[in-house]
Amino acid sequence: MVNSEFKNVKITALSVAIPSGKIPVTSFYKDFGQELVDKFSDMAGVKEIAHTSEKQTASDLGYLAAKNIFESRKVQREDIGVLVFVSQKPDFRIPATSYILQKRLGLSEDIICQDINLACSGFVYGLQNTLSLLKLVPNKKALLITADTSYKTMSPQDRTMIMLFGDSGSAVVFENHEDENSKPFQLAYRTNGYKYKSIITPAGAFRNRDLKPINEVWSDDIIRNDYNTHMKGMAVFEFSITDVPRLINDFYKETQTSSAHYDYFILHQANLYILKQLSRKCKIPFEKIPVSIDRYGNNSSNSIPLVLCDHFSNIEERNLKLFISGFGAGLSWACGTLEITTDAILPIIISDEYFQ
Amino acid sequence: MTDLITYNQIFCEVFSVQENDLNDDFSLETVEKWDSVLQLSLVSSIEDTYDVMFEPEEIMDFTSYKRGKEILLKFGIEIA
Repeated sequence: MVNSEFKNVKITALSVAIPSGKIPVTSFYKDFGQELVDKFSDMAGVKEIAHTSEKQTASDLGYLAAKNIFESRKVQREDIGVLVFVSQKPDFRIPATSYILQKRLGLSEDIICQDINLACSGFVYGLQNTLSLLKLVPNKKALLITADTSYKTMSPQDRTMIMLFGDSGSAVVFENHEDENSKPFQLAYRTNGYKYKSIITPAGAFRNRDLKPINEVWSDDIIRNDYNTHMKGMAVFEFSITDVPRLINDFYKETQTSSAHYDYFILHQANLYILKQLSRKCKIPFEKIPVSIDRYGNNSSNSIPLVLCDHFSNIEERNLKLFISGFGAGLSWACGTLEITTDAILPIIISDEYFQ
Repeated sequence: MTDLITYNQIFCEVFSVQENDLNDDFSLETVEKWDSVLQLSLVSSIEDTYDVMFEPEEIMDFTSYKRGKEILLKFGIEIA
């Protein structure tokens, strides 16, 4: 595994925005039948999800989360020297969405902006990039925005995905500090591009420009076209319960820690059954794994910040020693540790605002 | 030895089929709607019912009515 360590950094503020369009999974009874929907809900743990309107994009949600930080915390826009945007649903092909966000948020020209195309592992990879860039601007702060609207490339008839994914955006501000007693952020990563077809949207970019959006029955008996995202469910499940726990256990070994060393495990909310499997394979008491998938679904790169805002905002101030892990398209997977004071975690905001 | 009826009931509920549809050929290859959601529902129901926890390779291998019985036998559970 590839490792990194970041000393003397801390999370200043963390915010998450979701759209108001709550969809109970029972609303899919008419599409897939009550029996199948109930079985899916029991297994995946999803009771409802939130989807954006047609006009609201991933960056709108990220923007709202960042704006919430600037408006409610003592973070000045001119202090931001790094902006990293992680998403698989950018606003445009050109330019990168981080530049749109720089303008909308009113950030300085003295800034490094970058986009990262990643899904469920995106928060941890985004953390790596953001903190690496923060070293270049020691007197500034860094802003990591993760956001996705996964359902927008899904076939409405894809019973394995359309009920699973929810939309949200997050913003996290990091800063350097001098407290020598603070614990470093330690991160670890693995990648398997040999399985890039496991989660793929085949058309819509430049590899298959000639493909027409023709709806056909695919080998999994689901009607979709090449512009829809396709996930090989069992292959991704196998990856989630073999490669991911292997990385976590290797990380334990490398850092000479165990689940007892962490207050909570903030894990990508892939599905409830996978969370239970990870609990077992990595010897994590299940009560140390906060669950948000029941009310928000799988939120791609936002799972980790969403769980934090869902469970740890508006509570008595305390310092949390967290283990985090994200895993998904690529295939890519990552894990690590960080500390955060609950005071930095803002409550979830709900908004359908979009950029015109 | 344990109740075949319970094992069959789980398959009937998960796949919405009748008991007489079940046989050793009932599998991922022959059942059109056997997808990742239903396979995980099946495995989850079997684990809860028989109070077992499968290894990842057993979960992935649980792809037929017949193979399921063989896997449960490894846990000392004979379906007959």
